[in-house]
Amino acid sequence: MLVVLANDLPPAVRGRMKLWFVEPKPNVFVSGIKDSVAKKVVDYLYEHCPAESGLMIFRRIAETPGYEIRGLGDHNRQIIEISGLQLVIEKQIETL
Amino acid sequence: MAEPKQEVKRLFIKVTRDSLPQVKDKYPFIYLERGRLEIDDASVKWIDSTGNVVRLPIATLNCLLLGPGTSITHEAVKVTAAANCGICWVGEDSLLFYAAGQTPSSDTRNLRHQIELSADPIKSVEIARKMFMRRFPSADLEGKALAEMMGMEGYRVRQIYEEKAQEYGVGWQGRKFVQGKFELSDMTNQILTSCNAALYGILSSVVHSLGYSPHIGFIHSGSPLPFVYDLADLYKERLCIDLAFSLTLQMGGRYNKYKVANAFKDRVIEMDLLQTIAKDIEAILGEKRARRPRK
Repeated sequence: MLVVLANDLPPAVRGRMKLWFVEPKPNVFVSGIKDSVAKKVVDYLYEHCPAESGLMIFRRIAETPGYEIRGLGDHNRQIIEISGLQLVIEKQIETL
Repeated sequence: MAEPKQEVKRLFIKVTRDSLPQVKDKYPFIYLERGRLEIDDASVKWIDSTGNVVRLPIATLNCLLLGPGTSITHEAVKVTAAANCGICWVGEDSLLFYAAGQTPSSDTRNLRHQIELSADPIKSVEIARKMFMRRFPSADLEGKALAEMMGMEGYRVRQIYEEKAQEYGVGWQGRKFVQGKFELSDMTNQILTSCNAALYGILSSVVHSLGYSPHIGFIHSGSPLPFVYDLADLYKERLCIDLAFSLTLQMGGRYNKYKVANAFKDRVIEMDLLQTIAKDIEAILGEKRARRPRK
């Protein structure tokens, strides 16, 4: 399972992505491809998407915790790793 | 005229056992330090010392290891307990305190089974023998008393230390652990102490989640968590001893707790520890009756 959220994609890349994905909502791409293929596709996206596309990629993995998140360009929220678990920083508090 | 304020319907989602993942499917642990855990919008929120706000998916975590400088609110403990996630207070010198909650629908069937086995002298030694057999498959343990088996174990464990020291080319003067004097022991001992602490934390929380008691052991007795120590011995060789010796040289003489925690976490995931523990307890205490009844 592979889910990709994008801010904005160049038409050429969007077209190419539809080889693997359906786009049920604008800029939301879902695919049922299996783990090993998913990895290849993620690498491919990394290679060909410009930074402005702001991708966030969710890939199902076999090992715990079962998912992997990767971001490309400006994808709004920052990912943090605590003890190897990927979590999301919701906001930054200026003064504590 | 102001419009009448629409009454806000309060949404209260109860955490029940059937909405929680099984122990084996959880993420083993996360270690937190210097920050604050609190509840906001009904979820657990971690605010670290640099002001990052991170939500923790508590129902998918097996336990939280809280390091120095953490504070936690009353409500956060309540929600964490309801989600069956253990909380362990872990100090650098491995002073520990474990807390575990009980899910609203949990039962005491497994606990009863454990107590029955432990109270019967013959069955209890049999369980102890099974545990030793797992660790030393080549040893002849037939008809031996618990004290004899423990004597054999001591000798074999010392041998394992020696072998690992030789394998990794690390000097070894024996296992030394003095409570509260963590920094005084050598590198390998320091890594061992902190890995053991984390392992005990994970085990305590698994044992609780499965409905057993950490206080009723088969080999150890008298200590605070005998069943946890019994189980820990099954995994220590690979998870703590081998890791400690292999890390000693990489540390370059300076203890780095993040490096230790990361290497430890990698091994826990690689071994699929949570699944292994659940299976092993079932196999050791008797499979059929140890299983939870279906509702």
